[in-house]
Amino acid sequence: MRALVKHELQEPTKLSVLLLFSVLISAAYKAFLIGYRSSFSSTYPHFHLHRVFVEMGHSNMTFYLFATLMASFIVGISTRTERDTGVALSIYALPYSRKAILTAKFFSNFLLIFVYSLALHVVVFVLHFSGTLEGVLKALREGIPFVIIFYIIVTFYVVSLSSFVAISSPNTYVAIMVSFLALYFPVLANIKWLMPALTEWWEAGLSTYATSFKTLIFLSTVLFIAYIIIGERRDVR
Amino acid sequence: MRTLKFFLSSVLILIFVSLLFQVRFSTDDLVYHSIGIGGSEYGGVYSPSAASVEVSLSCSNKTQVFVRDVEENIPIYTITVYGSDLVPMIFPHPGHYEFSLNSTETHCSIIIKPIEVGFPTENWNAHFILGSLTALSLAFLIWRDGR
Repeated sequence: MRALVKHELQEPTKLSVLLLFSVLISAAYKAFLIGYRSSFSSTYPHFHLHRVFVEMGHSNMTFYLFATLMASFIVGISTRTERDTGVALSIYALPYSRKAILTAKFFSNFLLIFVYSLALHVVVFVLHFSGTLEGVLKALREGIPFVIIFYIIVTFYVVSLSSFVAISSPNTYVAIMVSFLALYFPVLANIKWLMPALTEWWEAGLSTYATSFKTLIFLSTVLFIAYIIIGERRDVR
Repeated sequence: MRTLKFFLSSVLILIFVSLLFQVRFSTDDLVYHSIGIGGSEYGGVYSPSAASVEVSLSCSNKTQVFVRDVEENIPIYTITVYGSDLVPMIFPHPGHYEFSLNSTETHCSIIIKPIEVGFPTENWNAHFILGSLTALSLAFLIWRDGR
């Protein structure tokens, strides 16, 4: 299993897609920090920078657009291409169960997208506010649990849905287009429970924040199980 | 190892993108919301860059206005306002700046106009230092793989 995950993590096409999308995702984060407008009033002094840190991912629809497009490409390429080209016949002849191969693909895609998004998020933030290191450290301390939970849940949802669509699709092109449509349509249609953005998150504690995503977590789990079941039963050609 | 090389390349790209945005950032891109504070309220704004600004203060009485750098948690200006005043200020880095009054009876409206924008030296240095370290690490990994 470890060898499979390692192999999947080093797949050059997926890494190239990540590299190209890192331009767009970095631009989305930086544009958010530069375009962010906020004024506040309260009856006691506040510290606000951790809100900016969390909202950079949480309320950043440009990031979500690029993240869904990137996930559609990575998962589509990872899950479908080998079946389209016939290489899958050799891969599935290896002494690993289909479940293990599919889980390794899922896990490696999840890990790549999660680590890249989180790392780019933190680096852009730290660089932008590097004029005030004390503020940055405080914002990181207060905001990082929210940011990690956000990326885990969003990546899980995005990868589950894309994997399910990819394994059910007839070829890579259809997989990429349909999964992007399925991921981004709820944003256009304003279906809130399928969108990662929330409001008033800072009023809630960490557990309340995580619970507010429960529908998304449930749906992602169902899609992951469906992906494994379909993948096991479907002919690899 | 290949994953690490791609990751470092992504960080390099990120630094270029960040620098590009900062170089292209101008006064026209910056608008501050106006603030209204009264009594014991605290009001403030987010500044996406360091800036030299002109602050227009209109208050109902004579009062002292305190300006605090929220991230550093230090007062940066104390201004005595007799009705209304126009004060030049410098926001030293991107972040939040908070205004408060010393009188609970007074109300003030504050309008901030950017004059000049930029980023602090520490910000440029952080970009160049991280960029150099990343480029060196990437070069080392490529060299080691080539042997």
